[in-house]
Amino acid sequence: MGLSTEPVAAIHGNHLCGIYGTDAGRLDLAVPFLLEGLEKGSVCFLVAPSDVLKDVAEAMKEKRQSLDSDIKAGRLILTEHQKTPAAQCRFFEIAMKKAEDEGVESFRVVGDMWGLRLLVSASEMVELELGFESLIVPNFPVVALCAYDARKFTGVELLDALKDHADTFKFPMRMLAD
Amino acid sequence: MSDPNELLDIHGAGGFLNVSETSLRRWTNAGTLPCLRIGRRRERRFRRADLLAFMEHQPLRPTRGEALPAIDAPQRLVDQPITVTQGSHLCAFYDSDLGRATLAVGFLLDGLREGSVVYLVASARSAKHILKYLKQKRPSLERDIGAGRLVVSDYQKSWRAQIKEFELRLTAAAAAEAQSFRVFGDTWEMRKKSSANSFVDYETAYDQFIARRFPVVTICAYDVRRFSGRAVLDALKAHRDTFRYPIERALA
Repeated sequence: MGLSTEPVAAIHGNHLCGIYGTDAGRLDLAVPFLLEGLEKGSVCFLVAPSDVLKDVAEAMKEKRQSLDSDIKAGRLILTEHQKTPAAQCRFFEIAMKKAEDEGVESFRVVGDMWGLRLLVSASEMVELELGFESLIVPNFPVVALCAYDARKFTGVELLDALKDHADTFKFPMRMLAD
Repeated sequence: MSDPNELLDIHGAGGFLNVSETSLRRWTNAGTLPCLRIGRRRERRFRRADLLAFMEHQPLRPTRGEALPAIDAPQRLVDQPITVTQGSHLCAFYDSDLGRATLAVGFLLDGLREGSVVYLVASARSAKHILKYLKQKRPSLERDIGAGRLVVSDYQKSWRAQIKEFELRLTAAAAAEAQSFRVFGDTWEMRKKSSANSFVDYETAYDQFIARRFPVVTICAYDVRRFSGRAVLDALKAHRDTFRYPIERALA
């Protein structure tokens, strides 16, 4: 399936979850979301395991020639998950404060949640979602997409994810991928 | 008698309220359930008295996106009527038996109140549990059943037979001048009787032969304790109408 280039009609403060069932589906969610952010001048974060970072960056590069300079200039930040939900929230706080001090006006975050799930328990995952919701979303102009791999997360975990991302129901058709 | 100041760890508190540890973390982080933090890892401890108070002071309806606590108390079931477009074929997800009842009762009550003929398709055990709560909200339930306004049945042995059964029942009810219908199906019961592929065929056939042909609103309820993550994604894709329904009515 080809990558969608249609923009996500997201507004600041949205904290969405996307669900995918294939590697191509993951790209369908992450790539247009991040590309749209770069085009709008947002600083974009992709937080994922290293192999996913590589796959997404390669797919983005096909659509955006200047991606290497985006990375060098700190407009696109590729990073693996921190070891705990608290450390992850702290990471976002520090990075976004610094970027705001430098004049950045908006942010986008894609988190491939299986990367964190490999480090923490299912119930501790909620710590990140709630920490992000209470510490990051109200304090920074950010649109975040937490991407869940339906091949790996259980039904119970996906239900929890949907409960923790009520904004998702505003943009449903764009949040489900193959 | 239990000491109200006794401290329970998160596992004990979950068992006490019959809810998941995830729900407890969510409620404590949201500040709706008090807890103490101890040790370097700041682990949660819960006073029994706080848990009791929390149980007794739950709102009638959840806030947007907030799960209902799975506590065995019928007054916590959602009871605010909502309007749904005829032909809507929705899915909903639950992770506890009370969650299933929460989804079913609000939906079926709305149907009975608007004069629809409503169908509850579930195992005998699940239906009994749901009807227990429904009866507390609607004392005339026995009369509804007697008059055929509420029809309770188990799934047929195959998906084709189930589609045929719906066709026959809805056609007969329409001939008897029923104007609208609601169907609440506890889908694991059908999934148990079919392969994963046949189950998809069932959903597709239902959409084509029932949801589009009759003035019916349908909820296919998915027990996420049984269905995989992949099945949840497939269900969401197959029930796009779900996203026009209030989130608190689709997740429990």
